[in-house]
Amino acid sequence: MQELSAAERMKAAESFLLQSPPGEINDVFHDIRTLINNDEALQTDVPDALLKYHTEQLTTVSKSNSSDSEQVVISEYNRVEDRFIDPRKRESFRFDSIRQTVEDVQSCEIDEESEPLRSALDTAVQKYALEHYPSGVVGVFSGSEGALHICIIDNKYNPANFWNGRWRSVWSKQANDTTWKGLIKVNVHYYEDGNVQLENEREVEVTIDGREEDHEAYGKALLKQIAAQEKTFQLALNEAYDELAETTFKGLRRALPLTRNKLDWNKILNYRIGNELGSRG
Amino acid sequence: MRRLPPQNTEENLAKLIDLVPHLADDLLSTVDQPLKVRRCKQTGKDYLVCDYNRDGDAYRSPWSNEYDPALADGAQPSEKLRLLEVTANEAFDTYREMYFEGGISSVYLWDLDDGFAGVVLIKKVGDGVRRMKGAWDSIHVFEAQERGRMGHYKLTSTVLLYMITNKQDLGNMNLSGSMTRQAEQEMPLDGPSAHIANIGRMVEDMEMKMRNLLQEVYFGKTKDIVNDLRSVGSLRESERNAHIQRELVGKLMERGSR
Repeated sequence: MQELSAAERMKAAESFLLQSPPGEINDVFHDIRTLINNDEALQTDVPDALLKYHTEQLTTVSKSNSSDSEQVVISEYNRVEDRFIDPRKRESFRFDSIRQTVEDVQSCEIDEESEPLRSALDTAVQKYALEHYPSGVVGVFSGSEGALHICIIDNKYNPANFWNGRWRSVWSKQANDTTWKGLIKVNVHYYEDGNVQLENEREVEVTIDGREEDHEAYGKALLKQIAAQEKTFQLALNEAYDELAETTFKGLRRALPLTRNKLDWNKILNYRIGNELGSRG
Repeated sequence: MRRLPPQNTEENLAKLIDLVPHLADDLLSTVDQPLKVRRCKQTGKDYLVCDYNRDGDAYRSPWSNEYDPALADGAQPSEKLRLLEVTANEAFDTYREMYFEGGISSVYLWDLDDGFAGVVLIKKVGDGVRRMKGAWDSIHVFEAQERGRMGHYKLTSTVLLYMITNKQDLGNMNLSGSMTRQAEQEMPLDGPSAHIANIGRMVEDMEMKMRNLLQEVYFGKTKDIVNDLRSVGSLRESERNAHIQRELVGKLMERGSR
């Protein structure tokens, strides 16, 4: 077998990192480092691969060292070159993708034109998250050319009981558009005596007719629709669980044979031997 | 591999082997992959392939005992064990029909210095009605030893379960993975086919346990976790209700203590 080039090795390593289940990036990273030890390319390229993971997964970090301080979202939507923006605090910071820490926090200028609407939406989304996401973290960001992005993330990590879960909702709108495009992703990993994962993706759209100029009313109208769509999705997911259990799972293997009894193995084997004798005679 | 999504097991395993080719054999024998189906050229019957009936690039059919592509010196069980293997395949065919009402099964045995070992494979793919697809793969690897008139058995069972569906309001849902359990048991050897009956009973008990476990984990636990991530109802409202309840209980206690 031909040896892989350094670039090919890194590509494989990156693909493993990007598939890490919620809350387990450090474990996967550790395993990969063991597999590809002494690989210079890995050492130099790993921060970029991890950064890609964290922006895709909307990793949340705390800007100060105290654990109860407000969490901020790491995403493509608030990234400017190698820094991330926290518009709520008007600060920017560097993110260490290996240690998952925030560094070099500085106050920064933000787009004042979009800020009133952004800020109103931020307040409305936070209010909504408090109602439905027990550990929800919210980020609302103004993108380039008047785009707006809403991120809602809820993580629950319980490695002591071998499970982790992540819910991500991203809602985006382009300037002068009335339609918000939403993408809801849910990932669950259960790994006691096994490896079971739920992957669910739902694309959805809502259209808001209200005027953006009335920021507060617009935010209310938008969140009412987002809430309705996310609820519809969650109910559909719960229903799918029940349906799969009741029909698909039962159709694969019965709990007991039609006879409602376990098999009589001696009978099965004797029947076979009897058949054999019969065919010989 | 135990952390990466089971949805991509085959792809990831291939990448991992490229990355660490010297571990290829270990990886192939320890990572359980979805079972593949082949048709036996001699009997026309379908059988399941895995690392245990593989020799190089060829696979042995349990029905004809022939390798495909043909191998002149492919690994074979001893003559005595092959007879047991034939019996086992027929017995587990009945077992599969009773519990799975369809699907494919294959049993492979191989000789050990002190006894023998084997694998019972069962695969059932759902009918995919109402856009709900499902597949169940059982892989039961066992070792059997004779100790006087007793048979001693060690069993490691893995079930791979795939559930995929999509709907308008749901989007794409993929709930997949595997669970592994082990068991060890001693049973009397009271007849020529006693090993098969003993292993059969063990596999039957194990699958019963694992079916319950899978049901609990797939449709109970992971569903509960989703609903821990987001609450359908209002959290504030349920908090308010809990608060009111606490107040009521407090007042009742107060009254009671008067």
